[in-house]
Amino acid sequence: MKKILNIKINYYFDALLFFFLATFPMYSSKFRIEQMSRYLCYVILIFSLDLLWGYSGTLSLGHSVLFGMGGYIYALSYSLKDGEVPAFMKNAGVEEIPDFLNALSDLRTGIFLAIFMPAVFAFLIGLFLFSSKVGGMFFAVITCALITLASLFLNNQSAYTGGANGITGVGRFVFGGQKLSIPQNYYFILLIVLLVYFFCRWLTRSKFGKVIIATSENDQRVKFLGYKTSLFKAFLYAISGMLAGLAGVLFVPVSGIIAPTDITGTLSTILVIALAVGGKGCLTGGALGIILIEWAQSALSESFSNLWQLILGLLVIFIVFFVPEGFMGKVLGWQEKIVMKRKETNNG
Amino acid sequence: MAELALRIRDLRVSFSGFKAIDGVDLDVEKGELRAIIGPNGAGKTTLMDLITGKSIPTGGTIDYMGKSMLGKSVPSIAEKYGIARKFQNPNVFSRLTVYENLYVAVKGNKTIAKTLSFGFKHKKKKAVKEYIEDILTQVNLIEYKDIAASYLSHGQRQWLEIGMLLAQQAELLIFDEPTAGMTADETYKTGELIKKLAGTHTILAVEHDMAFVKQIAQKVTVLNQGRVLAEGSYEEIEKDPKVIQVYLKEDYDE
Ligand SMILES: Nc1ncnc2c1ncn2[C@@H]1O[C@H](COP(=O)(O)OP(=O)(O)OP(=O)(O)O)[C@@H](O)[C@H]1O
Ligand SMILES: [Mg+2]
Repeated sequence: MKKILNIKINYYFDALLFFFLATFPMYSSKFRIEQMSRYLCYVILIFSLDLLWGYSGTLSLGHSVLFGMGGYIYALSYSLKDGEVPAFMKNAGVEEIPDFLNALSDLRTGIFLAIFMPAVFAFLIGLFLFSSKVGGMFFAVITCALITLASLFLNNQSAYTGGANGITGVGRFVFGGQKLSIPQNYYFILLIVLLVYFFCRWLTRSKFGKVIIATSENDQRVKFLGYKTSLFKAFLYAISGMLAGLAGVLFVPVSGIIAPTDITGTLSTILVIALAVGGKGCLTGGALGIILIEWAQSALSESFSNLWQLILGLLVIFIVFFVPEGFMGKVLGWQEKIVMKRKETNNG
Repeated sequence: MAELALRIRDLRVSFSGFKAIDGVDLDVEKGELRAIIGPNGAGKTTLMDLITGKSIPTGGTIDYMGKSMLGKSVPSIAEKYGIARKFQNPNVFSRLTVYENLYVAVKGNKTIAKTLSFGFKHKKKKAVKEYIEDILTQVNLIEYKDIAASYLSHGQRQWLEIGMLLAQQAELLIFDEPTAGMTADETYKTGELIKKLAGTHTILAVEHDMAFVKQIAQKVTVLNQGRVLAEGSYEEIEKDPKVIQVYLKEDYDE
């Protein structure tokens, strides 16, 4: 009994959530399954954001850029894989596939780069920002500015990015010559979500994770214990970027398209809101938050789109004032109090 | 004569023209327990900042065990050269448990790769666990092992931080007002612990509480306005007219 009480309550939520997700396709339409596949990609993305914001305390407001980088690289690779110049390039007057894109014509290299490049990009930005003595606020602003930069880049390089239309016609994954069906693709993504989940749990429970949590409270003190904290945080940002890129890779075959609005739109904001509402720093809260908010958004905006914005706004205000630790944070706090009470009565 | 651990010569630092440390010489022998006292703003904390690499001196030298500490980074001074520091305010990590606080402090495995190693070395892990539990017993926190540090009282946090210092297995321990906010009983116990650590460790203890200084000190250095005002045994310092004047003046100001 005592053991059961000591298990963090969010693990039960995780188990329930995965049970729900695993059975979801059994009673849902293809449309809903596809929709949920998209949310699953966002779950990976929000895990990646939670590692940063929840565990290391650095808020990234431009997380969709890393996601988009992965998505675009994959989409580009997909459209180049037949060795022909894709339509959107032809329309922009590109006659031949330029040399610097040759590597992408192999889809496996494409997937690798789509995951690896966001990691490298994040690492370099992280190294620069964390080793200069700027505060967390500055990090938030810079990452926010990345969205603007990304949108400029996408428009300027429209010959390779498809401009405002983005890159379209990306099909679902193919295994052994067979294109995955919608439910198969769903389960494939779910499997990866599960792997990412266990990876994040392992990471945050490792010594590395403890050091990261410590830096979120007092970076200076951690330095005095002998850790090069800026390197640790840059590395964490790289892992976060890698997962965001992975989410992008999984996302594009579901939606069939990646366009600037996927990056520059509200995604980054929704992620931050979902994490704040669900409760950061425990993985569970983010996953619940993003699925519920995305679901509510589609359910409500199908009929009243303005009302949805209003509800979301009110929700944020409510959370910020009354439950700053978010739903899961609150629940975990209750559990901790109960456990502490029991310990006290046992001792006294 | 015993071996010299810390050798500081003509140390200087100024912050936008203000000379916080203004030509300090300091010799501390290996295994010595040195108390550093002085009125508010005398530069005690700043001196510790310089030794630990947090601030960069504008002049002078700092040698520890014969090696210059100038230009070394904070993590390297802490881990490689073994200089550990307890801050003026208890700085434990409240999101971590008491055990985890010590776990991140324990000497060794402080690179990214090592903190991510999959725990293949089971035996070593067990040794670390026993080691941490041993320290927890020394600082009277063993019952609180798995509790988040946020639940500790002020005095317990101070003890936890002292435990972290021990876990670092440093040779030189720097205590900046280790007893701030402690009860008289806790203060006394801290004093005894610090005395026990001297000999096997070299210790610098910054303190305001004179009774505490009297309890622990072998030798006292008095800082005032960034300079060494006096140095000697507690009895000598107590009688020194310059020291009396500085402290009287401070009392008068208050
Ligand atoms: N980084 C800094 N920038 C500017 N001024 C500083 C800095 N560090 C210390 N000072 C100044 O140097 C002087 C000495 O400060 P310090 O904290 O070393 O005093 P202290 O002896 O530790 O005092 P206390 O007993 O109050 O802890 C103070 O006037 C302080 O304002
Ligand atoms: Mg001070």
